[in-house]
Amino acid sequence: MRSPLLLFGLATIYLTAATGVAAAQPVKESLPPVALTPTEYNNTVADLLGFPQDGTAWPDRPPLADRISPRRAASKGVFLPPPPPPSWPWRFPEEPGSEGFEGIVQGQSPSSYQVEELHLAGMHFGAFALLSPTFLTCDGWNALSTDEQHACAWDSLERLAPRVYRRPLTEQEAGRLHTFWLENAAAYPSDEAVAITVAGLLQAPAFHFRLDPSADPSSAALTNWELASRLSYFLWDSMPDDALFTAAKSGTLFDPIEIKRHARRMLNNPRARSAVVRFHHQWLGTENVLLVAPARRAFGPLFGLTPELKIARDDDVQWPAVMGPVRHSMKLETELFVEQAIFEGDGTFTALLTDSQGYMSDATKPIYGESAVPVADSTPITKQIEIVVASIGQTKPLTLYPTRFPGTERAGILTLPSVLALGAYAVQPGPILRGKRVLERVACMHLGTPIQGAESALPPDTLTAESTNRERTATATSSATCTTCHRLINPPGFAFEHYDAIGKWRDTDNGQPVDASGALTLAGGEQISFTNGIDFVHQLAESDRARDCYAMHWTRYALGTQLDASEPGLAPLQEQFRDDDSIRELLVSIAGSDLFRTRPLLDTSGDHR
Amino acid sequence: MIVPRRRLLQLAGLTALGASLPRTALQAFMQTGEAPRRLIVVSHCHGWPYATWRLRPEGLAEHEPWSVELASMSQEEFSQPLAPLYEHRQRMLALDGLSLATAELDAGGNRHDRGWVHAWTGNNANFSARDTRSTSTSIDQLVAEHIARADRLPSLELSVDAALEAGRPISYSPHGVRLPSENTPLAAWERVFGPASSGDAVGTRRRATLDFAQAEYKELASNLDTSGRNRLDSHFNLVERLGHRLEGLATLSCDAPNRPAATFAQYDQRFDAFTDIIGAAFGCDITRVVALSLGEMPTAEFGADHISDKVHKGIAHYIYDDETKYAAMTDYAAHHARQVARLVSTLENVPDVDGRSVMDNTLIVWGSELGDGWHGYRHYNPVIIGGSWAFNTGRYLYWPHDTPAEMRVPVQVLAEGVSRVSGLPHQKLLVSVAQAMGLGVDHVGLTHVRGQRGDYIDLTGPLDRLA
Repeated sequence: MRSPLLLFGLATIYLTAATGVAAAQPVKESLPPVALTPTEYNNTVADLLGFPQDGTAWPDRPPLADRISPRRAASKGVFLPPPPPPSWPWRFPEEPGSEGFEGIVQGQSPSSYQVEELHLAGMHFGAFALLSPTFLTCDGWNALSTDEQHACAWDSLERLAPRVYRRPLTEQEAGRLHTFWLENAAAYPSDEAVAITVAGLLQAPAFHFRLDPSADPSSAALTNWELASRLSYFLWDSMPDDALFTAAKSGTLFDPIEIKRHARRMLNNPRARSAVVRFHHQWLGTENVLLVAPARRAFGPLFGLTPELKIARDDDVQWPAVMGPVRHSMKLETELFVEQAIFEGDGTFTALLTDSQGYMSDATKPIYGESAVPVADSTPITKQIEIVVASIGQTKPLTLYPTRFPGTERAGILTLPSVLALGAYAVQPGPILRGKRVLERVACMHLGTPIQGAESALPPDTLTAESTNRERTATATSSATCTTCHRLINPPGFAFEHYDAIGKWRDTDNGQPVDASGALTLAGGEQISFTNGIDFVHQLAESDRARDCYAMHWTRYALGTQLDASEPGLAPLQEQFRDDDSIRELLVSIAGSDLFRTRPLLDTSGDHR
Repeated sequence: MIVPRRRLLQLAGLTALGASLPRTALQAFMQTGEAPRRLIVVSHCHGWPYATWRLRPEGLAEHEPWSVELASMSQEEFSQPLAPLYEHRQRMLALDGLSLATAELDAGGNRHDRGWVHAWTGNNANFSARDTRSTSTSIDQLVAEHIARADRLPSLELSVDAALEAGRPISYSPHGVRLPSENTPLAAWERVFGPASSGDAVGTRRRATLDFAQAEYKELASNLDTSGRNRLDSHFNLVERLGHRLEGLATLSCDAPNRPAATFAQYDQRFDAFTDIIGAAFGCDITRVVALSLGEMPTAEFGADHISDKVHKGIAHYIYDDETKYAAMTDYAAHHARQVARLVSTLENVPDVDGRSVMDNTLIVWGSELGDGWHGYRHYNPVIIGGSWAFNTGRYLYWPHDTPAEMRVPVQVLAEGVSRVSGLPHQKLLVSVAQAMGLGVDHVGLTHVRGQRGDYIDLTGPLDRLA
């Protein structure tokens, strides 16, 4: 009987450039393989071992783990020890990233710390193989003789390995794996031998990097196996499922119609939601809302607290107890908003930027005020959140209610409190932060690094100013040195002056009516003149520049590379997106594009300009 | 190979023996050449009682910076908490005029937890999960990443625990996770010397997986183009380093202290057992960075058991309500100073490859998570010992408080309950330490904050006048 390691790939047809990528536009330099991001790693391990992508459903770390890797010493708190780390996910260092995105090869550089964590994670998860509901190909492991255990273990490893490598193993790889297994089986008890062998697989380059050694280096075409991985990590943040593997094995994935069919299928799977949400967190940086720190002296009364804590030895536990749920609520409502706009609503860029239906919790109700109206007959969503109050870690439920906001106050993702609070200081809104985010992330306009001392030149972040925040910011940035950039940055920032530092709507600032009007010219020449933030985001939603930028972010994200904006393959995707406005169809089109199905080529002429 | 023989480092008072006897053995297995720089971060709990800690030679103003040469002072002129360090005064820099201002400006959690994060990372705490996290790495890890030997432990995290409250982890990974610490001398010994003394069963298994991954890479690399190979090279060179480290630790040769007992009755005994391990680990170049967290001492060990059996909730919180408790915390700080003094003496008795002592090539930074036991962040009084290659030691340095950050103060000290200004942000100390250890950084953690009145506060650059 042939080894399944090899059978997995016997029918594989590796396409070459001659078989269908004549239209591809190779660039001059090759790009290295993309590594799994921390999210992708954890999701993939869960899928490989047949556990849900939910740490609460994982078994405890088995004692076996401590026999093959360093024990994990308990951490300590002031009063109570914090809970032990969960079995899953493994907490890795964040990638340096590229323009806020993970999974972009230019933003991936290894560190000794990251490599050690990958090693420890491999040892940790290797010990879970025998607890996996899908790993073993036999029953009653503990009752088997050693010889029977060895036979079953190798059979199971043969089945697992191609899924770890996301392709069939080469004969050499299969041979090395077998040798590795035999060495382990000879040296250690069966359970340890299995765990060590799986741990080795999880540290192999073919697992950590997305690459296929059987690809023809002279060909622009991705192999079907590479395509399956690229598609699944693009839309699911995880490894291919059986249907994708089957399609790769049959050699049909290179067909644009077929890959688009799979893309549509995958977008209908709940897994796509979390992957699409993650993209938007990275696009606007909204995961960092968990670290925003509005000041009690400015916002305490909004939440029923005095502005200042009575001076005492004990610390302020009231404000953290308020802000913990507020921050989590902001993050969760961002996620639910994206899901609703893309998967349940119109699914358009316009909806993403202008929808006024969102989610509110009791924690954020003071921010939205009385004008927010819960949607009748809608289903509340309850999630568990974690916070630390006075050194005690807590898990508590947080319920969000689908809510309709006045269209004159809220329009789309850019007016969510998460985005607004990120663009603020402890007391005052930060028009420069907000403007910069819009220009860089929404309009793909790159502003460079602020001049030295720019931050210190900003007005004091205080409640006791004599003018409006807009006036103070304008004055602070009015010198000739500053205006070069701030004539661009300030207007889109001032557009959101109707929102205070915590994202609450306001009509006045320091007793003066808010002026949120302005005008700016986007790169490419589009001119936008607006009366306030709502007007501004409606025009952004119609802007070719904003749509092109959004499509480019997605395409880069899908390919895992900082694609040049002038890359010809982008234009058809952008043109289609300008016309149909559909985010889901954009993702399908990216999957079916020549760009997606090819790799940058090394210039073999020796001309490496 | 581990040589479990005499206690190498319990040689205090036996300087001549200490200087000659271990040297031959150590030099046999240490790399020759320039001695490595080393860093020890020591963090005790509850800060210092400022009024009894500070030095105020007559005639020096409060409103301008000054310094005094410690060599010119008698032991009687030292404050009670600093007096135990008198014998090491030429190595010392006592810093008066810093604050944990950014911890005051941060919010959430508990002032202890927040203080540990700020004191050693210079950055904000993250309380958005069930465990307290930091938002960037701690100074010990930052330095370890820079100076670690590839085939040895990058750093060693230790805590001297007590029955009531443990020494908390003061080390934070680059992704903000508290690094667990070895909280018994035996656990620390096993981590440092265990792999070479007991066959390293776990390490052997770990290395098997690394070797497999390396073999897979070597085969794969031949099929990759230049850019792919370069990318994977950068990753697998680090994998190889990790393998070297495991192998290096398993095969090292060191004249180690005896395997310590599983338990010690006294806090001081535990502390001294840890210092033996640190001395041997430095002497054998097994690590170059140590983070030593001092958990709460039993009150009997510094003579305060007649007041309470709990430092934290029995004494430290009430220093401004009860003079005897202020005095007890002075004794407490002095007792920790005696421990630090013994650590210095131990390192002075370990010969280094350059013919001097390990202490001559070590920088100790002794700080805390608080300014004082009242949970104050206002007066933060770290002591630097060593680091003479970078610092002009032997001085007490004073800076007036004029940073525009409001600090909470007990009403017994200031009736208003708040000081409108703070001392220099301690981030500048962290920058000084990082630069002394060879890092070309201008900030550690935050680069700036805004005070409560909105003023911009720069946190970049080192402390002035240290060099």
